[in-house]
Amino acid sequence: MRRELSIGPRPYIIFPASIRKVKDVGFALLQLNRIIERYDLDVYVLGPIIEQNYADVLLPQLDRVRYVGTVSHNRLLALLKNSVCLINTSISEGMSNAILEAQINRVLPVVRANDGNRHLVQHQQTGLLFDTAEQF
Amino acid sequence: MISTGHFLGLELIYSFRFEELKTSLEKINAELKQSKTRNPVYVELMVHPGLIQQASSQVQDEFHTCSNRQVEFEMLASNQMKELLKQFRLVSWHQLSYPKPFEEKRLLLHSLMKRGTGNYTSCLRLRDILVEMGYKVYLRNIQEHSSQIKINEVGDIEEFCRQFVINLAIGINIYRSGIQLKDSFYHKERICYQTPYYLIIAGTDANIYLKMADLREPMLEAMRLSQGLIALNESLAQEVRQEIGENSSTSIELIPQSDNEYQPNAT
Repeated sequence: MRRELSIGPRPYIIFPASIRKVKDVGFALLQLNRIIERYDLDVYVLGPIIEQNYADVLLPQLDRVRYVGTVSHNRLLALLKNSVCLINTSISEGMSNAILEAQINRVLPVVRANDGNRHLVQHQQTGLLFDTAEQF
Repeated sequence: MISTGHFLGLELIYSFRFEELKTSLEKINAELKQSKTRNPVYVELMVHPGLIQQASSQVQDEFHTCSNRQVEFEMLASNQMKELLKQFRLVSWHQLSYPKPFEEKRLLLHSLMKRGTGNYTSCLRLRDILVEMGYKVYLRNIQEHSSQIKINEVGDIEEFCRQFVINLAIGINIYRSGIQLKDSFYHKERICYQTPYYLIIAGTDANIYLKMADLREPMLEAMRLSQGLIALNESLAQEVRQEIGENSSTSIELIPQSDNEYQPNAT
């Protein structure tokens, strides 16, 4: 599966997000690229393109963060289980399945402090919360 | 046996009194509004319109020669009557949404089912739970490519529910699903097969769409016409409560999903 999805051998961070404004994938792009460089790991964005106009602007900016595209739920879970941590930068969330799945699989969620995410993650107890890109 | 909640018109045959009929219908309407029920109330209106029979006519009984039948005929066709009926929907017997003679619980799950999205995952999980509970579940993807497709979809949902005798619908997302379900089952300009529905508050609907001026009113109406709303956390419930008002008859069931006992391996 890793070969099929071009997932490299290095440790990686998983970033499940459909490509649309509310997911704000570009929120901490600068910081993510620094992390990739400094810790010698990869960041994979997984999810379908929902807003094409937004994708046209965002995807060329990803730099070293790699957009994998849509993967099946089973594949997402398999990738999640072996990841270093999970990232969520959404402006707003209801009840994120991805964060719940990370917690169930004992993967650290590093998530933006919106109302929905605050219900799932207690900072430094059940994950990490950030408000700004700098905090990230 | 099917019967309506009210029956009017029996006594109008010999003396059609428009004002009396109007008062009776408006009283039923007022009671319905006061009760805040979302279920429709059906009224059977007995009418006896006719033209006065000529002396040469074969049937010469009291009914056929009653001159009031022509008065009633003219009154039923009058503009006054047309104005009055604008407040109501005309339905025929076969369109009444009464409990169906099926023991099977048939449920429509209506959601945006684009692979890889949270809604898709939630929808499949919910389906598995409902199937385990004994429901026969039909999944229906939300079409949202163009307004024309949306309009067709609205008709299709109603036709689908009628054809498969769906007892209940659940929509994920007040904006994406709720408005379509509302328009399908409670359309203002046509008679609908009314399937009761619940809505699950998804996130962007409460946090973003409900605050947009052009979407707010149809979303509020979708909520008002629903049997109830389901929130997965308190902040979503709170967002919606603020918009619909504390005195709303729309109930919000809070079903929290998070596990506060979770401790990750490493922080």
